[in-house]
Parts: sequence; C-alpha cells; structure tokens
Amino acid sequence: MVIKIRKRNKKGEQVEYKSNKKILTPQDIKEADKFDLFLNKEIKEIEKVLLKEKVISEKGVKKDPLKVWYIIGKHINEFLESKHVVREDEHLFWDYLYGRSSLINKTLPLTVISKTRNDFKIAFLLAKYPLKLIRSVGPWALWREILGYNIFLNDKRVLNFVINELIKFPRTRDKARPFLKSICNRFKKIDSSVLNDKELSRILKKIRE
Amino acid sequence: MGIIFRQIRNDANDIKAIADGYRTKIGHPLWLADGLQKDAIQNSWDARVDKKHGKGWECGFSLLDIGGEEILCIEDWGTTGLNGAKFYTEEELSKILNKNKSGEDLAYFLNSNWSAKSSEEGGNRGRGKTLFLIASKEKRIFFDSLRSTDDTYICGELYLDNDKQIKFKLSYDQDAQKIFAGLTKNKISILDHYGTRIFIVNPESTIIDAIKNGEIVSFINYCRWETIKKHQAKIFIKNGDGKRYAVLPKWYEDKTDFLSKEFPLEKIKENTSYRIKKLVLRYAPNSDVPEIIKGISIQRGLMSIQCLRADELVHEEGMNDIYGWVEMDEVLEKDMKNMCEGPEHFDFAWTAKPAKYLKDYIRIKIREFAKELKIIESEEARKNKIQKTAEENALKSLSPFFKKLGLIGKHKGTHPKKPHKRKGDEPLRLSISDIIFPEGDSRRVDYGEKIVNTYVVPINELSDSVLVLVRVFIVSDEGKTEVIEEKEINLRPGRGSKIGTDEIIINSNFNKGGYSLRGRMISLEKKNWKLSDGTSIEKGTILYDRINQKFYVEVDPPESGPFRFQPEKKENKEKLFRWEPEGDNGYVIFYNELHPLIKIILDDVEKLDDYLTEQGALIALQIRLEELITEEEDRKDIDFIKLINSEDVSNVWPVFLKKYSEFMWDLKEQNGNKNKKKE
Repeated sequence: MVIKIRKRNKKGEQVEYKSNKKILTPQDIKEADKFDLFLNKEIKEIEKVLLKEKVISEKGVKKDPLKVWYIIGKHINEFLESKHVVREDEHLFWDYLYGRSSLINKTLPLTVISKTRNDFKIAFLLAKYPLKLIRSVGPWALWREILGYNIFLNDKRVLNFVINELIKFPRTRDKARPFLKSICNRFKKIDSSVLNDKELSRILKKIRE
Repeated sequence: MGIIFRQIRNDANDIKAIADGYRTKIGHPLWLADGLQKDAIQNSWDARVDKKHGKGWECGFSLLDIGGEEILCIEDWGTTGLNGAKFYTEEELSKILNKNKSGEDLAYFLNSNWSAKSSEEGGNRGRGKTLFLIASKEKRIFFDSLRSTDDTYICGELYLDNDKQIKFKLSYDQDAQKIFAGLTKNKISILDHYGTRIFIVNPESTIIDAIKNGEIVSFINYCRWETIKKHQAKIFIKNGDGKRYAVLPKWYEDKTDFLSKEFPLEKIKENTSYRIKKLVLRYAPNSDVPEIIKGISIQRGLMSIQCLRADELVHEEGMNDIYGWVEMDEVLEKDMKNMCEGPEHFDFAWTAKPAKYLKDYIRIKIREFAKELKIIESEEARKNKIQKTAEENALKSLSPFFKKLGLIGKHKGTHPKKPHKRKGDEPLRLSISDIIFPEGDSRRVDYGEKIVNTYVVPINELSDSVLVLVRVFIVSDEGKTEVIEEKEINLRPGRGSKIGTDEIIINSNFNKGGYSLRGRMISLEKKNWKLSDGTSIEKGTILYDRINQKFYVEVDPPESGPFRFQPEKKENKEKLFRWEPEGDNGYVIFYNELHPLIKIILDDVEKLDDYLTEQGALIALQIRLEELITEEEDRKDIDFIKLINSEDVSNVWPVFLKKYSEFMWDLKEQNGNKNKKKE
C-alpha cells in the first residue's frame, strides 16, 4: 500500500508517494492515486456533515469538539471498512490525514504527532462506543488523554473500569490525569490477560483507593 | 441381566468441544459473535410464518441492562414461536424427540443434538442452541415464546448446572408469566406477538465488544446479504441509543461498476443431476475487496457458508481481485448440506462429493472468466512484474556494496542512528537459538517451505523456582495474533522443556507479508524477589518479552538500503540515469525506459537486473564521493580519503573502476557458486 502525500513549500505543492516499500511500481502509484481520491472525497463528505450538524463553524471553530471528532471517527471507521490499509503503512495513513481539511484542522501540526496522540486515530477508536456513553464520561480533551494510554486499548476490562469510574466520579482532564497515569504505571510490566476478572478488579480497586 | 443405567454425560465438556469446533472453523477472534449471529438468525428465519417471502419477519439483537445485569436479547417477529407438543415429564419429552417429527420446535429447542429440520432449512444438527449457552459467561439463558398454534405463552430457563449437566425449567401460561417477571425483575413486559425471545445472561465480552463496535453488523451483512437482497429481511442490532440495521454490502448489488459475468443454470458434472442456479464472478482490481468476502461465496439457504478463494483455485496473478457467489439448485444444495457441510455451517468438506464437483466447476469458470478479461498475464502486468523483480534483484545484489561503501541512507539529521547493542542475558529468559529458516540468513519463506525448531526454551538461572506462563505466538504485520502454544509451568532452576512447535509449515493459511514469531514469559505467582530493573513480581508480571523473530511469507524483506529504482519515460537523449535524494530515506535512481540501452532489455529480468546492478554500483560510488566531500567525519575508506585529499579529478575514474571491478568480481563469483549449488 502506498500513500500519496502533498507537501507545500516555496516551490508550491509537491506530491510524494510514501510507503514502507522501497520500490514503487506504476501500479502502486495508480492505486495510491485512487486511494487518495477516495479519501479526499470522504473528507469532503465529513466536512458537509459537520456543517450540517452545526457542530463546527464555517471558519473551523469547533462548537462541540466531542461530537465533531465522533462524527469524524464514525466516517473513518466506515472508510476503513471498505478500504484496507496495511498495518506497515498505517502510521502514514494517520499522519497524512492532517492537512487535508482546513475546516477540521485550521493549522498543520508543527511537530510530528505520535501515534497515540493522533486526533484522527483517537476519533476512530472513540467512535466504536455509543455517543451517549462517551458524553457521560467527559469531554474530548479527556478522551484524548484516556485513549493515549495503551493499556486501555489492550484490555477492554481496564477501559470499562475507567469509563465506569469517570461516570461515577466525573473529573476534568487535568484532574483525571493522575488517576489514569497511576493505572498505566501499574500495568506497565503486567500482562493483564492472565488475570481473571476478580484479580484484575482487585488491582484496579487498590489504585482507586 | 444387570441393572440398566443411563450414561451420565459431561455436558460441560461437550459445550467446550462444540465451542472449540466453532473457534477452529471460524478462525478469527470474534468467532463467538460471528457464530452466534449466524445460528440465531438462521433459527429465526427457519421459523418465519411466510415461508415464501419472509414478509413481516424481523430479527434483532439488543444489549440490555436488567438491574445491573448485562443481557443480550435475541428477538424475532413474523415467526411461529416454539410450537409443538407440550410436555410435563421427561418420559413425554423423550417420546416426542424419538418420533423425530417435524414441527416439534419446543422439544428440539431445549435439547442438544436433536433436530428435525428439513434440508431447505438452515440448521439441522441441533448445535446452534448450545452456542447460546457458550455465549453466556454463566452458561445460562432464559427465553419466552408466544406460540402461533395455540396462543400458549411459555417461559423457560436453560443452564449448565453444578453437576455438569445441562438442565432446563419450563412453564406455561400464567406460571410462565410469573417466572418471566421474576427473571426480568419486572423490567420487561411479556411477549405480545408470536415469536421467541432468547435472553443470554452475562454475555461473553467479545460479543459485547462486537455489538458495541458494530463488527457484528458486518458479519451479518456479509453472511445474510442474499436474504436481505431477495427478501428485504430486517435484522438489527440495538445498543442503548440506537438501532442499526444490516444492509446489503455494495459488493453484492446487482448494479456494479466491476467487470462481471453471470453463468446461468448449468450442470456442474456430466452424468450427475447436480446443477448450479447461478454463478456470478466479478473482477474488482484496486478496490480493496474486504477479506471476509474475498473469493466465491457458497450460498446455501440464503446465507453464505464459506468463501472459496479464487487465488487458491487458480494460481495466477490478479486472482485475488476476483470475488462472487454461487447459488445451488435444490438437489445440489440438499446434498452439499447433508453430505459435505460442517456442523457449524462455516465450511464444506471439499474432498467429498458433490463438493469436489462444485469446486472443480468453479475453478474452470474462474479461469474462463480471467482469460476473457485478459487478467491472466496481461502485457502490462507482465512488464511491471519483470521490471519490479529486476529492480529488487539489483538492489539485493548491490546491498553488500552499499554496506562496504558505508552508504546507509542519509539518516543524519538531529537523531543519528544508534548502533544496535544486544542487551545482556536476563537470569529468567527464553531462548530461541535453535530456529532455522529455509534460506539461511534470508528471512523470506515461501509456500511449502518450513521454519524449523520454532520453540522457545525457558531458562531460570535463579535459585528459586517460579510458576510461569510461556506464550509462543505469531503476530502478522496486519496485526493478527495467533498463539502457537501457551503453557503454564513451574520453572525450576536450569533449563525447562521446549514450548512451541518443532516446525511451522508455511501454507496458504498465511497471507503474503511480514510476521513476527514472538515469545513471552509471564509470572503466575507473587514472589518476594525483584527483576533486574527493580520490578516486583506478582501474578501477571512480564518476566521476559524479548523473543521476536521476523519472517516474510512470499515476499522479500523490505529493502533497508539507501536506494530505490524507479522507471521514467524521457525523450531526452542525455537521460539514461539520474538520481535524487529522497528526504532522509536515501535516493531514488530513475532509469529511462525510452533509452535504447534499456528499452531493449525491459522484458528480460536477468539482463535488466544485471544492467541496473552495474550502473547502480557506479552511481553509488558517485553519491558516496559527493557525501564524503561534505562529511569529513565519515571518511574512513583509505581510497576515498586519498582521492579527496589529492583534489585531482583524474584520480576519480581509476578509484571508481577499482572498486567497481572488485564488487563485480565478487558478485559474479558468488552467483556462479550459487548456480553450481543449484545444479
């Protein structure tokens, strides 16, 4: 899989084809062009929905960031259902979603975004849950924080614990951070798959205490 | 004569065996959700009132919270409910089952391995209902049903008891209403239409996940598309805030942009009465056909049972892009079901008749279709393949030369590459030192080859033993994980026994691409000593995680060299080769396809490979010289140091020629040895 990217510099727009493959065939390029066309079409579609739902202004001000990213996530999920991205090139896909829509991202990120902080990837993961549940946990900023930790993605039981905790005891992102960090640190060297529900719950409850 | 006993079965083990059957046949992590949807929908569809069109039929899966208890409810409309004779004692039940009469839905629903379904219906092995129990963490379900034949309301509970026996409770009418109210804590009203509701108590987390993230809808879409297409069947998933209906995937719509061919009613084998109703083949290049539908779907009873991969039937380029489906006529469908279909309804025994006839027929038709469309070895595809292979081979040949010259790509920037330094041995560790790849140093493995000694040996250099779980698994680059072996052992000081397998045979179950063979050791107990990095040891602590052997199936390992070749078309006579730096990734060497020197060898892999290798070596020398002129600290090669210090242009060509000559000599000698070995 090859990803077509556009870079803007002094010479104007430059097109590059990126992939983990060193050798690109004309067929690869053709496929990358086609994929790029589909992706841009999808982004345009997302922009239309966001404006229609009035969750974003024409200038790109997000009135309801959680819903904005939820809608984006839903669309990416559907897009990836039909367009397969190979794992080796996944990072390129996520990286180069930035810069495709000035409505979604008013400016380009100045530095490289790590894969755990990529807004589109987070939105993709978030949209796998019902909006109502997501809202009851907290705002977009909090979700960005939660889904930035691998342990919550690796073991759904831990994520469910966090969701329940944050519904029971709502916290802002900054206030939730020490709690999330303590869970992450606790599981840094643990493979939770060998723990049964009771054992896992004992560890999690201790963290809460 | 002795006393006659009834055998006491271990139903818990039977449940496990049936679950294992589904897991193996379905073969993906969400097997339970996939199997459950298939069986539940099929049972409901078989019970529809309007047998011809399924009018008014609907089936839904809803995730409920009843007083803090998570429950999956499977409900249907437009069905008959659990009709059949009522029974009040085991003797009555036994008589009903042994008569093997159709229409005894109630008795059959409550008893495993009993079924009196006709061949037109979906299931007939009586396993589907066991899957409901498998789906419950507690192995408990309850149900209610309103029967169309006598308006009787029934409610029952089916569960695995402590004595490992599956038991059920059943009540009718007012008693049933009371029991239902108790089971649902008065939160759900009794059924008000003919049909059945099945409540799976505390469903397995993979099912909940599949419902929450919508994957179950994809399974339904791809399994039930024919029912949806022909009968506008309504199947939904409800999770809290919204209902999502299964839809007809675009791949199966009649209107399609893809090249398509329909083979009408036809005998699949002479001197038999087996016929297909219709075979549809479609060619969808560059369209990322979902993995789940790749190949030809074998449709039976309006559902997809299995997809036969076109690339496994016809070994030619482009077959991966062919998909389609086959609908069978009555006789073929009946025999395929009764004689060849697996009890889980996910596969066929392709060596049995008439499955073999069908497979052969599909193979012939795919080849016919591919030839018509000129998919098989089109001129363009052939040319691309030749060029690509030649470019890859040239880079492989040049790789030692790049290394010798110190060309490792640019990779300079602010983060210089650190040389790899192996960490010291841990006292608790896994060793995979016996592993052997078929091509020695190369990590490429082709179909039919095997990797041997794919096991790990646990080592304990401490004085204390420790209870551990050792897991040997393969992770594909696409993110799929498959456990080869997982073993709990009490690891005593010294070396433990092998865990893993003696060999991994690479067959078509492996998709082309990269894989990692990994090993992990996890503690299963608390210890009062610590790991070398200070980590305390408790149940779950990862003791060792450093086994990672990468291999590549049917593809070369990604080139990590500093160059890649790219063809271009230039009318300019001055352009034979040119090169451009490519960010931090190295250089692209463009070769002009229109230049007569190249044009003439474009359809010859070996000649093009040789030419690109020779010219690539000279270009590499030029690039390295340019780099060294600007990067003083990198100058290590004595010839280059002398050349740069001399500041004499006339010295350039002799140095280049010397290095080029040495490289080509070694290369040709090496290739000669390889050829001798082959002979």
